[in-house]
Amino acid sequence: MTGALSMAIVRAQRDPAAVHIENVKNNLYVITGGRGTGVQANTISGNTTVFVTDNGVVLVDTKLPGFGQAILDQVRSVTTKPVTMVINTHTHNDHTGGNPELPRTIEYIAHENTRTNMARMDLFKGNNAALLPKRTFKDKMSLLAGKDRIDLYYFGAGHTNGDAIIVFPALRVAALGDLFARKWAPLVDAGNGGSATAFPDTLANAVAGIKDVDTVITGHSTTPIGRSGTFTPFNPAAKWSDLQEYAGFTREFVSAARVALAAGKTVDEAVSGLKLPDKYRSYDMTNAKADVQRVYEESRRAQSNPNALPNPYRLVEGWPTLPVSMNEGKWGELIRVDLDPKGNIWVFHRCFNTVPAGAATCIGRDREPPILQFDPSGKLLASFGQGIFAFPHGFTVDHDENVWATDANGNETVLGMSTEGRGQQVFKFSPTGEVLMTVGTRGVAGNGPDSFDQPTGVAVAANGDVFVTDGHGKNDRVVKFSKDGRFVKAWGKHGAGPGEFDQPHDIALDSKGRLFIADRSNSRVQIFDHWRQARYLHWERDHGHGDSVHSRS
Amino acid sequence: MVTAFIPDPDAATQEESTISGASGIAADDNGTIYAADVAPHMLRKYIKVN
Repeated sequence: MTGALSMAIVRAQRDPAAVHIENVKNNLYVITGGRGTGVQANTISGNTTVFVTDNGVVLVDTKLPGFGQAILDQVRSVTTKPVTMVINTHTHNDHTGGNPELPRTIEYIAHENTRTNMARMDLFKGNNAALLPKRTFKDKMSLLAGKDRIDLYYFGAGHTNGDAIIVFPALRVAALGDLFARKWAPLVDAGNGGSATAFPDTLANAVAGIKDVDTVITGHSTTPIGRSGTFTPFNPAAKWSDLQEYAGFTREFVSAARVALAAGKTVDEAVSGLKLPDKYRSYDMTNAKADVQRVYEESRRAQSNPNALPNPYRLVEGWPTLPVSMNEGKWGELIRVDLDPKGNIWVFHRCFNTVPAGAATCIGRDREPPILQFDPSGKLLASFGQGIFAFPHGFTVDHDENVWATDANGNETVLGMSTEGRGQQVFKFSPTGEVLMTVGTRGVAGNGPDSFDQPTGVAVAANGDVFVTDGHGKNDRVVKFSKDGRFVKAWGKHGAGPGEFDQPHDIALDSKGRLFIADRSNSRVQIFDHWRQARYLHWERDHGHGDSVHSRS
Repeated sequence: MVTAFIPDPDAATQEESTISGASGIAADDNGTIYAADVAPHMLRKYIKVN
């Protein structure tokens, strides 16, 4: 107890800016401190991790320029082995500055983007260009073997676009560089590809993707006191749970900034109104305004370039299992999918047909059931609807698990075959496939109270009211029916103005009763307020075709 | 505001096919997304990983 207390006193009394080596675990050390000079007088170097292997010393990061010899001196205090390898976690000179001052025989390793970034630095111009990393990696790379093995990971942009995480598996230790510099609103270097909005995903992927680590070496061992040039020490050997907490902090920070942006707040208003859980109260928020500004800029840029947005989803391969007895297990065109209140998945498809492309027909395929139900594991539970549809289109499952489907066929023939009068109708099925009700006149186009012109979508409110987008023909309207199928009202006409439509293609209701209508050829989603009023609220353009909408209601 | 984006699995051929890839979409309360693809002839399930 006394010893631990003494160590704590020594740590508290030591100048956190002074260069100092301390043991982390067994043959792994960290060199802390290293204050810069001139314009960097208020900068303390990043941590240097020291890994003593059988055949030499591996360093992770080399502090600011001027600290190469100090690093070698500290290494010499714990081993006589030479430094043979340096891994740079990222490009900044408080992590790479000592490289040119180390023996020229050393091998340098970094992420491929970090090498590109380093090549732009004055520090690595001229003769020093020979010191740029010759070994790089993209996603993962392993060095050495056995107890000396080192794994390098890259999980995406954050502090820069080349932040490597260095893992020492035998010791269960990871060096995070400035992906986790300290507990603070992170510094994001956009000039070197850093991203505020990607930061949480990158850390979350690291937490999920790295196994069996209990100790984390942070990028820095000091926390600046504002911009005063003074620092408090920060334990460079953090716990894995600290990294998990930090990942959560960045997630909540970015989420709060996005909410503020969506609410129309300025950056200053967003920062002053930032409310994060109390567990983050000790975090240094010096960079908060810059980070919010970065979130705003990246989010606005992403709206015009969806490909730049994060994709936090993983495709489940081999889902679902379509029985071989159904078209030899091969799908044709699928048009809609929905969930029932139990969480099972319902699919409306075009009888495993693929022609005409984009409008495949069920005509001639009356043995195939176009409505299928799967459980979440992908097991087929039910199938029905054979011999009813020509052109499956709109689809929903209501609160009572009844299944609604539209037939948007408006042709008398397709592929040279008669459509047998099918189409222009909306069907209501029980969960077991019994036809409970039809709306619309079979095979007849019209714009009256009981006719459609190629109905494309259907939505059912909690009280049973039914809404149909009408549709692929000339009507360009939305029609409302009571739960027993009686016409209530219709609204909309052809056009591009508010409340007008050009092929309303699908419809959804949310829990507030708002209607979301995919206005296909206007490339927008129109939103109407409470379904009783059908009052136009809002539209969002640039949604591609505007084919489909879905809302959890 | 759009906050995430799953690329259209049929994007590479959409210019030629002139029809859309993903045409139907649904999501459960866990954030799992289901997509019905017209052109690629696939039913897909996406799990949110972070």
